[in-house]
Amino acid sequence: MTSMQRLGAVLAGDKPDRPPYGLVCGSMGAALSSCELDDYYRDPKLYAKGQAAICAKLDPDILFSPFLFAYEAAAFGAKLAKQARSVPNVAKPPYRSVEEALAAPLPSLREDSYLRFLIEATEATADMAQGRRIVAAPITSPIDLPALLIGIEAWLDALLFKPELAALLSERATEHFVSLGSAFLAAGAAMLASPVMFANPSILDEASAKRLTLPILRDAFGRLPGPIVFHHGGNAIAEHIGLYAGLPNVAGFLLSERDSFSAARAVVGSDTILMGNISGPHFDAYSPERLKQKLDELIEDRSGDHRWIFCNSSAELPSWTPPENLAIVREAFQRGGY
Amino acid sequence: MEGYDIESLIKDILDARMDDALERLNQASFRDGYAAMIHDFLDPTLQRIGSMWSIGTISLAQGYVAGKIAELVLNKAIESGEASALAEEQGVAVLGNIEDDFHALGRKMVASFLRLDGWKVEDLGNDVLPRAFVDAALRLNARVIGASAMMLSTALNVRALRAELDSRGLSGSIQLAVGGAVFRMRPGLVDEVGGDGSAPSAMEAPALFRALKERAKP
Repeated sequence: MTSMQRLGAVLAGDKPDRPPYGLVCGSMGAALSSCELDDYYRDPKLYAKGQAAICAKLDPDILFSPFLFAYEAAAFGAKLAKQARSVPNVAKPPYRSVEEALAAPLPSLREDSYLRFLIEATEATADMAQGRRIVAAPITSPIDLPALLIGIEAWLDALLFKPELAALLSERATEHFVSLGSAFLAAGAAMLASPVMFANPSILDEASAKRLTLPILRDAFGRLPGPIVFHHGGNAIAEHIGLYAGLPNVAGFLLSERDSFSAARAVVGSDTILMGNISGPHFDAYSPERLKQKLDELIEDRSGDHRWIFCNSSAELPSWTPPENLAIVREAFQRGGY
Repeated sequence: MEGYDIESLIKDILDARMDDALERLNQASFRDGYAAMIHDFLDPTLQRIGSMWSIGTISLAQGYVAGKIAELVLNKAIESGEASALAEEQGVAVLGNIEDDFHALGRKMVASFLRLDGWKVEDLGNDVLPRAFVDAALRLNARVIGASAMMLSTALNVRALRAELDSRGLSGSIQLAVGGAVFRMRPGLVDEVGGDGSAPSAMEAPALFRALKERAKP
């Protein structure tokens, strides 16, 4: 089977020849293609070249466009802090309050250089993949974008104590999310992937999530012209996954390393795609033997689960991950079967 | 002190009814003074909430409300002039987000709970260089430095702070607490970056800082 046939089988509920797999290796692509990170995250062609280098080592079924949420914040005016070997971080949110954020215009997809980079890097990666692999595009969820725009503390404050203002900011975040998500899909992404934090009971209690943030997700996901993967966002979700059942356009759930696939399956049933779950930021720390053992255990655990896609959980792999670890993943999955 | 309705205060905090929670605490301080209210009402309440947080039964938002209430109560105690409620008998703790880290919420919550526990907190803010941490600790005679980081890439910068302590011969006499989401997620990271200890939540930071202060060599 080709990657497309394999993923098509998973989506259709048929049995693929083996589990499809992919890893979020954004910054690692720069390291493997000997590219300066500054240039890599400025020039879409260099990003695609880095992903080609990932393909040479990993031969994945799924590639990822930049896992770079700070650029979405930068499009609104956030100050960025560059890091030597990782994606840039938000040093200072663009706005000091909800009110200030509401008074500002949304950034233009065509004119803003950060958003243009994200869209064009998606397009360049899809062009490079030439239909042999699919591209998933990470995007900030509309209930988490406000935390990048005004800071986590101010966003919590708004949700808890100024719900009317929080709703207004969410509407604007949704507008941005739908526009950018649509642009990613038009640029060649087969699906979006959105880490969701402010609907997780470890961040916001269940009653508040049901009242405040889940309706926003329902609206925003429903307005997308394509599928989206609900990413765990750094917190375990298996225990709460029933909360998210019925959200429109959700192609599947990406679980955290702490989650049990069996526990999630027991809630979502056998038809829902589950993805995960070795933590990306841990990948550098595993010896080849330990990584192989973890992969074998995971493959054994998912034996017979034809709606499982292997993908790292949490954030991207560190750029300094030994390339041999990618080869171990490739070997574990390409030896075939379940 | 009898008559403190801890269960109702917990419920107010967990339901984010901040005005109701503050009103309960105000009434208690009016009746018994800030020192008694903090010691016998707010502290036990926060300890119960801290236990819930450490086993994952409450959310970050609920912990945030608890921290905000602690901060507001302390500010009111300062305004009231009741210095005895804020004796700062634990000494000085130097806090900051490590170099390149800008995720301030956890650090601010730790600062609130430390102040409530009687620490004088020197908060250096975000993106703090190793030398600045150590200079502040020496200047203020602090026995504990708390360095916060949210992501792996920035948490690894704590190694430079450990190196700074080592190179100045201060390891052991100044203890290094580390914290942030990534330390909960990556087992072994505390040792990997040279931390002397960590706590599973902001509310448990005071116990950690006390233990580290005891461990610090004179």
